[in-house]
Amino acid sequence: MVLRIENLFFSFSESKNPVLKNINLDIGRGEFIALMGPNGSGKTTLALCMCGIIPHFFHGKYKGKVLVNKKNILHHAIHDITRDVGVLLQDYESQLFLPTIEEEIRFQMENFGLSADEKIAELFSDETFSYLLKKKLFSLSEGEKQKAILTSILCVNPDILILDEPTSQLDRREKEQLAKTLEKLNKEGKTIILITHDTCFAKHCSRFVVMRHGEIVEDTSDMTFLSKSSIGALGIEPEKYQWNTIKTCKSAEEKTKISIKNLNYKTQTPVLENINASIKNNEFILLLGGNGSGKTTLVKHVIKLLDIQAGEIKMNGTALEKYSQQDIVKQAGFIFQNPDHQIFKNSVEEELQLTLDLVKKENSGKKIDEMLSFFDLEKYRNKSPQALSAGEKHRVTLASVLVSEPEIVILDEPLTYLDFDGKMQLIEYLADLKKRGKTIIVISHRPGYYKSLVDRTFVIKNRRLTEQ
Amino acid sequence: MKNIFEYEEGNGFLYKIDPLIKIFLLVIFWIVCLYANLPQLLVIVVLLYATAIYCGLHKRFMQQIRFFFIFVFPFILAFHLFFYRSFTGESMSLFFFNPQISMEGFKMGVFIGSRLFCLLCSSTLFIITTNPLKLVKRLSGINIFGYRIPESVIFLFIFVNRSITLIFYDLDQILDAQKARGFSIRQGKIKDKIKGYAYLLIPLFTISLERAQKQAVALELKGFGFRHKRRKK
Repeated sequence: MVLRIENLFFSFSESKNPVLKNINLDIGRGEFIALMGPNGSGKTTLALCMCGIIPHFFHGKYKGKVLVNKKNILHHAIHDITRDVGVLLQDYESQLFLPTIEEEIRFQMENFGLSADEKIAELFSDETFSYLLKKKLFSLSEGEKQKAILTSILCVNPDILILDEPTSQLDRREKEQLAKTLEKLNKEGKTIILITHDTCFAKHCSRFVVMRHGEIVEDTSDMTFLSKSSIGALGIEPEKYQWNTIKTCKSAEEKTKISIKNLNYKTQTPVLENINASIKNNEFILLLGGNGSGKTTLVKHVIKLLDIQAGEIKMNGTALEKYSQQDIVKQAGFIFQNPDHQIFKNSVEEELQLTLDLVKKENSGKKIDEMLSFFDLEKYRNKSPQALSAGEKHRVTLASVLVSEPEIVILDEPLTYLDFDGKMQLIEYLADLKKRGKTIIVISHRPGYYKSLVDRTFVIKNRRLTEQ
Repeated sequence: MKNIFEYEEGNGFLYKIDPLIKIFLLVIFWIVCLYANLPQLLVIVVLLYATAIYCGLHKRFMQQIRFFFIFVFPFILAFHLFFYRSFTGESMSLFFFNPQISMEGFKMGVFIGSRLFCLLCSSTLFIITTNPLKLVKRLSGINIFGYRIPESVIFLFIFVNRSITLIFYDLDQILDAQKARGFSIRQGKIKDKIKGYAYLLIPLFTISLERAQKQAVALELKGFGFRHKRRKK
């Protein structure tokens, strides 16, 4: 056994409710485990216990035993444990501290008293990796950043590798590359624990552990587990779940809502070239493309977050330049990928009121009530949005944008932080919005979820937009 | 905006100075700034600008100036302009501000603003010309009669260096989100700009504090504590 957990209970100092309850888990060398479950079920907390961050860094009520290579983490410092357990955090950007990957690897190895020269020389001779070593951090794509951190973790040669939601920011190609890397590492004997909501990615694993409300409710090596429809009740998306069961009856109208002609945009290098598109009233558009392909840049032009360098965009037949920013806000609502960036007030109600004050809408009380009930946020009316879960925060941002009744709704990767239930809820909301006659643009890497709603799909590849 | 405070390799003389000597020079520079009067501070500003040009950092220095005049200077000036008399007049009170516009307040605002400008810009010139890994190595290696720099101080250097870039990334995102909601610091009427400043704090503080905690966890995972333990032996 490389890892043994016996009767583990844990609750954070500030909370009375235990986050982990009676966890018992034995993990053997070379196992490839998927740790699954809905948001808030305790997966990340368990991972932090496996590497000693709990109880040494985050304190609380800790009971039970966690043994890593027979070492009880309670009696060893974090650095003794992290030599054996490498962790890739969900927010992996926080794991980068130095300007280049070469320095990052040196830093990590030197911290553990290892000489980095030999390893760096070896990586320089690896054609698939050497180009990354001297690249600046801010010029790396999400996949490259993750690959770089994973490499720096592996340089210390840990026995166990824990990856917390590693696919949430990756496009399809990057996901495939990561899957290949993990399978190779597993074959070399590494024990891998993958925390994920992504059922398609979890199928690479050979054992599935499911958590719910802080407890392990399922632990199986049945390879058909992910395809069973019953796992939906555990808060996990079944592998072949039919997302097209939600039907929308309303089809797009002929009137053009947004037209884009010959749009070009460049920073140091061209980002968008000769973009042409026409979006109709009440149309549901899905915008696909790899990381860094320019999807967000394109929609930022539509809501005037970026100035048009060349080309023309019209909204309701009028050039975008003729609209003030206030007029655009009344017409189009934009929901950012990370809800934390767009929550400005101390209560959910105030957050919605802020939008109404800005667009000067009347009957604000009635509209707020309507939105809170539509998004099932009534009970959080006076609560701080920052204290809510990721899915709830997402609903607050949706409500705060939709309360002004914009005709166009744009969402940037809305499923990133959501679990199965959250995703189902969001898809239902989007179907309802389409029924209400809204024009919807969704940026995503995951077309499957929107199958039943989409009227047209656009793809940005090599800086150009094509219709699929 | 996020790259204006990040270290990038370069060839100017500032890049070649040893990080420890640079820290020593920076501290002396700060002391000079704290004792200088307004004309002397203006000379120092010109000197800083000339140094930036000489080291090929003209563009980034101008971006920093722009940042200072958007996000820092308006607060300093407004505070002194309206509240200077509350602190210096006969009606001085700890708990009650009586806003009164005054010429002395304006002059003091410009003076304090210039001083802060010198302190901030000299610090950022240090950050953008100092390789963080070299700095950590030099700080870790200091041993004066068996005394070493505490781990927490070295942690602070690494942390500040990385956090500045991440905070600016978040700031960019928040400013975009504000604009998408209908108010902006960057453009629009003064009323909208004031709203923008007021609503900047909640998301920025929340994200920064959460990120600080994650970075501290990440440093632990990278074995940073072990480096310190080895140094002690």
